[in-house]
Amino acid sequence: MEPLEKDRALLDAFRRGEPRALTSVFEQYAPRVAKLLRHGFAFESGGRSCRYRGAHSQFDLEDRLHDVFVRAFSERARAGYDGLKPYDRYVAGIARNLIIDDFRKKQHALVDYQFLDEVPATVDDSAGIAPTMPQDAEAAVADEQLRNLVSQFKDALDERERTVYDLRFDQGLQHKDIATKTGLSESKIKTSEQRIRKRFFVFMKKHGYFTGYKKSVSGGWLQTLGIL
Amino acid sequence: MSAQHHVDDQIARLFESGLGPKESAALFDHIRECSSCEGVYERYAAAERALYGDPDDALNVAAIDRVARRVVADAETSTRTTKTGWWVPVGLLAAAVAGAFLVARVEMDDQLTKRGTEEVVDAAYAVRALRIRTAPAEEVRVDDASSNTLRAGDQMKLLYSTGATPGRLTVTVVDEDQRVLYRSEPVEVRANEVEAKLPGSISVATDWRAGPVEIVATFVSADGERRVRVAKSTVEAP
Repeated sequence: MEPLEKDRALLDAFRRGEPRALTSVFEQYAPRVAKLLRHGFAFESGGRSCRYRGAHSQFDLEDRLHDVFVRAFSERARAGYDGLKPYDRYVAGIARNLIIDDFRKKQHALVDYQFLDEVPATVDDSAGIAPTMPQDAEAAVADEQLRNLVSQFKDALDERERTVYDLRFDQGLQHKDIATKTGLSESKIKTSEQRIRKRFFVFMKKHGYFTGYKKSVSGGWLQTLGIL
Repeated sequence: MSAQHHVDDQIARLFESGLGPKESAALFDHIRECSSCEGVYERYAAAERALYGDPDDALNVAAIDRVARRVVADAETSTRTTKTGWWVPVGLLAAAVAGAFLVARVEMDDQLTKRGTEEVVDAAYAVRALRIRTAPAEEVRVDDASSNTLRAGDQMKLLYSTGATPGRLTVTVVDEDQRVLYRSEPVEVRANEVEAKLPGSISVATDWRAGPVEIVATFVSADGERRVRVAKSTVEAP
């Protein structure tokens, strides 16, 4: 796919705010911005070195990505893009500014609080069972269960579903590219994908994946160097 | 339907088939403020990531599509209400998996003890023991205890499945002389569990004699039925 600054027809449609153009631009640039938001970056603020550690969960990542592109797709931002500079740098700049703005808002709140020393955890052995395993081992067990379930699910797919699975789920191809490769229509591919997804989540529910797990995501803050 | 069930249901629908723009926006507004619901979201996201198999990408194609729908819908309406809790960090993701692991499926002995004289095989009840071994280089390895040997320092993690009635589960580990090496307190278990994790783990101690061991799981259901399942392993000679 050509970069936005080189595709005049797409750029014009994008500037007009046409939904198909916005979707196309999003699909092209979102992965790069997502990587930036996921892995974080260093920045300067008020003369101090700071670091945004990156999104703390997939929900946080999706939410921030949404906010970046809502800003990037606003009428003002679309009109403000000159169509000459590479668009990926333009939207990355929007992402960085959003993070820094957020940091500055929170900076004032942070100085009102301080972290106390943590109370040492006590081991709960009331059930007569050995203390919980190290977090890595617990996560390894959970990961193994998940992979096994996915493998079982894949094995039960029929031939056409398997083709769609390999191209869409494994290789991450767009629907139109799968249509080109397979001769299937895009709508058949989308329907197939939708059916596989729905069956997958029902399969996972049936195998107990969505019950009996620890729900809370524990807290964290932006890490700054030399601020607190 | 309780409020929690309603949100869980919405998250399920979001991942299975998608939500409309208003419902999606309201759901995201809620999750930003609720770490428990964020945990549910992460569970579904983890399953989706496993389905799409993209460990190196920040987001898989399904997640990209999901965000795209919200972004384009917002751009089309061209109105944004001020969000409360924008960018509020609600937690850190749990620790990432370290090291490689293997899993081998194993056949287990299956015994059923029932009141009366008739023995019935009840495949719903099962137990499986995983061996967790931390190698010298701090690599964590997870594999099946029944097709591998145990040594002091290993941990065993038990997975159990249950039938249609809730009850209590007790686990005992015995050696070939029926000496009890480990006994758990009874744990309440729910009905229709599938490979649920028994809390905690069993440490293989230095005084476990080399030779075969049995991990005996006794299920006593609420209606008084008693079922015994056994997984086997072997303790290595020192």
